[in-house]
Amino acid sequence: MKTIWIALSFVAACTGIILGTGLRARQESSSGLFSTSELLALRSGTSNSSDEAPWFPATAYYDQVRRIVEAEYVVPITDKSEMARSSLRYLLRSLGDPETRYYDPEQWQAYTGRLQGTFEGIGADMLALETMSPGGPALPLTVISVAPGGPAERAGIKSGDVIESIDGRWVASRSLFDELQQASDQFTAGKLSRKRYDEIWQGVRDRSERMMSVDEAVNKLQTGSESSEIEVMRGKELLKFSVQRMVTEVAPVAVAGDTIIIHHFGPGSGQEIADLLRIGRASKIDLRGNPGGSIEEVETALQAVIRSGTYAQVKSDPGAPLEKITLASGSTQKPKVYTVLVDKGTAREAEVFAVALRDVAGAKLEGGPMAGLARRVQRYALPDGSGYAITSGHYYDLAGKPLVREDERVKKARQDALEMVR
Amino acid sequence: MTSSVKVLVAVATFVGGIVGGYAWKDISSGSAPNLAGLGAAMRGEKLPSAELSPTRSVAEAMSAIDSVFYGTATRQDLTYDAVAGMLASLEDPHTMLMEPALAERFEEKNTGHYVGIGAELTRDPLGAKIKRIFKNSPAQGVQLKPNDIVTHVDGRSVAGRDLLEVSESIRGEAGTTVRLTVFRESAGTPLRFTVRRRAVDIQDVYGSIYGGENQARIGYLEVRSFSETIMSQFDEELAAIESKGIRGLVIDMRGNPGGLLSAAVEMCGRFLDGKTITTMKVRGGQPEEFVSPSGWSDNRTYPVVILIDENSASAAEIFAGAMKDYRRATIVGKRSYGKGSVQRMLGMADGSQIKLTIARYYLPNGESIQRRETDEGEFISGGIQPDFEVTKDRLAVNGDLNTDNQLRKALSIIRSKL
Repeated sequence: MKTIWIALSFVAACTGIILGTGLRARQESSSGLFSTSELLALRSGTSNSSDEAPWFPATAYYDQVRRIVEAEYVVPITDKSEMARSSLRYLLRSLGDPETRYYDPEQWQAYTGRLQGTFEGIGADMLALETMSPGGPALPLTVISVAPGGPAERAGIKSGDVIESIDGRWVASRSLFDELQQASDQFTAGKLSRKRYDEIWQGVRDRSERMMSVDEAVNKLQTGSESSEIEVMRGKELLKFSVQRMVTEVAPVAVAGDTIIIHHFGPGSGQEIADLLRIGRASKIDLRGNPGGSIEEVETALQAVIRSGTYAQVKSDPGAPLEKITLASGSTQKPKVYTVLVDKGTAREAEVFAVALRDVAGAKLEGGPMAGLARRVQRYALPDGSGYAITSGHYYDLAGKPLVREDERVKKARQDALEMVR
Repeated sequence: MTSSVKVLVAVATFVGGIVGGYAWKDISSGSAPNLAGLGAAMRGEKLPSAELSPTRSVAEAMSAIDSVFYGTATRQDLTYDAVAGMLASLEDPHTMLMEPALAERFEEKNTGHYVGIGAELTRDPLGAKIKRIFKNSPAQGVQLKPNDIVTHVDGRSVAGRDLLEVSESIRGEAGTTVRLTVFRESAGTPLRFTVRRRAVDIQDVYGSIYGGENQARIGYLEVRSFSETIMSQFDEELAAIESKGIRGLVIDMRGNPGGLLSAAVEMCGRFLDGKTITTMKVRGGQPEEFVSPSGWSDNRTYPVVILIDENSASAAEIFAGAMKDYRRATIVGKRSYGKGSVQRMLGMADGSQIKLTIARYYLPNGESIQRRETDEGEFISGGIQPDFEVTKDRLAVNGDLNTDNQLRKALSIIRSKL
């Protein structure tokens, strides 16, 4: 009798284990390899993706290399996710668009957090743009805005500051390279002594030996909780800051006198702004240092002050015609004329909000120019907690003027990179 | 025990089994069991998966780019970028993708038909310094000279550029011309040259003799790479200097990037009879030993010094490492590059090539040559450590006794042994 109970318990335990592991396997089954039919379907799908581009078996090619690497690389591949991540990182970065990039799990959390008003790290909006080697970094790493009450603001870091070094390591920068070329030109023209030239060269070499990539720098500044020594260039002055990284929660909206201060367009901000605007006491809207958020929140806020209909335009492709963006419902009142404060930290969706107020409701924009980063972005979360963003359009105002300012330096860097590859 | 208790025990064991089974994956991988996920699983929710499938992720990203990206990109370029990323994740400097255009140039280089101006370059802060001018070359024709510094190629500054990039920009198709701006210490102004490119024969071994008169003669062989014809060149040059009665030999492997492993093994045979030179290990395969040939060392007993530097790699390191391990040579210079691996070239249907590391070499003493670094790029192990570490003077020219301090050290070591 006793043995029966022991046996029964054993069977129960075994069944439990089988059920438990099965449950886990089913739960995780979202990732896996392709079946042949999926692969074929994808391949045929690529054949008519573009009219000019010749057909290329992209997936088959990639998968073939992957299988060879997994079978023959000198050490067994233990982390396939890292292969995937690194592929996405290169793939998206190669498109040369500042908002189009891959974020690993930690970065994705920080990135999506920023869109909701939770700033990690030093609490700053920054733009990272690296062209693929050999062109190197395209832009100096520049602070667009600092989160109010965040570590960067409290330390004294300002919009427009260029990050030079973090904890003694230099941030890769094209200016380093340009400095050397300039010196070389001066030297060959006889305007610089060999000794001075060698000093410059040595300086550049020293810095390049302790260097971190722009991506690495952004990751360091926008995550984590340790303190960092940060050197920035402000104009021609090199300034040093000690910044304790931490999480900063920023409320989307605040009111000061007759001014509504909009810090970001995170979740719930639209309704809150709309409510405050409907009360009608405010005459000023402060969008300075607003890094944007979601276009839906912008629309919700706009509904309180502008009529329904077109409020901005967008281009989905450089060669495509402008498409109108419209509000389905809006205010029926005579629009109130606001003064809108903007600066170079007013970015992305906040720029769309500002010009919609100007173009539809006659608001006066004070300050500026704005950041020039008003791109429409699609975001894709991945099952491992990472994700990526792809720019799907450029916003334009009602008059058809672009809200995105293409940086000449980026164009040049990309051209150089392409030329060198050729 | 009452049966209700027994039922309770059985039920508890059952539940325990489910929990244990669910968490087993975490426990076996050494992480804390994720029990919060169990509740989610019971409600049919999905957990973030630990793994990301490379192929699926890339295919999905490409479709997303196709359908939404503001701008244009071809599938082909995107694929190359994705593959470059996949290979970069291995953190192996020798595993890489060569896109069709690059693969074609690479192939041309390995067949020995070199087209260019016939000048060998080294790094210089201003651009690229000419180290050597090949005999009967276009560079010799227009009277370019060693130590000339190329600052501009076709009007573009090359300061700060990678040496490979500079030499690539100087090279081109036979019959075409390249404009060079050159800085020459003795000339006051930059000099301009227009050089017509053509096929140039490459010589890989250069022999000479130091000393003489009232000093012992010491032979010097510079071995520039391990090409297919290297051993006939080596034997010829060695015989030529030995016929003049040398009492020691300096073999200069500085800047030698390697080449054929078999050539390095055979070269060892000129000094070491029937010794295991290196062992090659493929993942999961049997180690393969490479043994130097017997009967070729001709009873050479004179002292040998091998010069190496940061750019001595692969076959050059195997040669130097084996000669060091068997105490047949003294090594002078800087720690070598640290490339102890074998690459396989995989030709793809579109003309691109995948260069993949498939095996590692080990020295006779069992050590791997492969350089290992921390994430910050700090040295851990690898390369060949010289017996006498000598940093080359910045303005030194290889083979020039007045400036080449590493060579002077090599010669003094040999003299001290005579």
